[in-house]
Amino acid sequence: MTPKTIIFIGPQGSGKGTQIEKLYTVIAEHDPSRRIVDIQTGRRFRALAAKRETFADKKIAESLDSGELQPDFITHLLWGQAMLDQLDPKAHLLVDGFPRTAHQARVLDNALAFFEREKVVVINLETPEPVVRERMESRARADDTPESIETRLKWYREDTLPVLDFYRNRENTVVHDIDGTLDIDGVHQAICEALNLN
Amino acid sequence: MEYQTNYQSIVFMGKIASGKGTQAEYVLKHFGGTLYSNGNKVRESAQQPHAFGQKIKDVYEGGYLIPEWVASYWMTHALISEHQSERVVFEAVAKKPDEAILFHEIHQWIDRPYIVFNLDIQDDLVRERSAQRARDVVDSAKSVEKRLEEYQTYTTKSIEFFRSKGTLIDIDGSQSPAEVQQHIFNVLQK
Repeated sequence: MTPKTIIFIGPQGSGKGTQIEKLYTVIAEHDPSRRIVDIQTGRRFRALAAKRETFADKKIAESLDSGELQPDFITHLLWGQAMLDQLDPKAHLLVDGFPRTAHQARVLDNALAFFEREKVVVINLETPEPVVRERMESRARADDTPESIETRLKWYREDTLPVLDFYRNRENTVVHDIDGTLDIDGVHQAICEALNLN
Repeated sequence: MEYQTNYQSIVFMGKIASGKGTQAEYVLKHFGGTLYSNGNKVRESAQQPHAFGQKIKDVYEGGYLIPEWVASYWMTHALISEHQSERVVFEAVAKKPDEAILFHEIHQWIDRPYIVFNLDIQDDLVRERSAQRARDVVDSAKSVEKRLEEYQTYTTKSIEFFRSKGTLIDIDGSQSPAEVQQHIFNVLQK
């Protein structure tokens, strides 16, 4: 396998975290000699918010509770740190939680060029809003209040969809639209087929 | 420290040979803090075992600009994490308007007071001072003209941005270093 850069896009509750975990295992089996760098900014945000040590941690926790989008520079801080510490041109890279705006997508492109990773695969987990709402109600994570769910859905509609357009128009890029309403194994199967990992 | 100021971030902007380095040193000596520069960050990174360190060293030593994602990551990291509770003196930061906007937004978000000193000198004085000091390759006549052009294209926009936010102080950089220092110290101690 050549080094892959795989970016997951989908609304909250579309199962990105679960699918990344399953895909990680499959890639590790197919290509045991290559490192896999897995950068999930949402998980990193929640870790900082739980610490609440610095002024910035507390601000992050507040934004998380209200469902607001974190400032671009905080997202950049998290993935920048992960890339500096772990990434090189030979590793596989799995990305979740960013880019969430077209601006972030351009900054990420700048970083991917630096790490000689021009080819990008996007997994777009298409999940309609009623399905997302239903799943969110049953997941009951601390930052999932009815208000925060609606706020996140709103910014997903407004900000993240232009990100998909960015990748549909980017050279050296394949966007796979995957039906996110299937069950966990069904989605996983569809992703593996799209990536020729069967 | 000898003097006190409320400003946690102090930025020097100005053309080549406007005295930014000299004034940054004075401020550090009398008010305390850390000097922030991309050159220092490159040297620190090059010591690290990761692939990034070696790559960024190659870029820098090859005379290329530090990629934008790295420059803005370093600046954010310095302000939010590394130096969050100490004074930082910035020499040559926010040369491009996007960086200036980012710099301002971060300070607003963490409620950190900052001030920008614009050491203003005429182009002819830049040419004269550079020719006199001939410190390194960037003081050559050709390089000076190129940098004056870049300053005109980008940095004047950053300066306008800071001025519009009320965080910029214009200083006549043609005065003697002691006079410039006096003006800066007066502002910092207000």
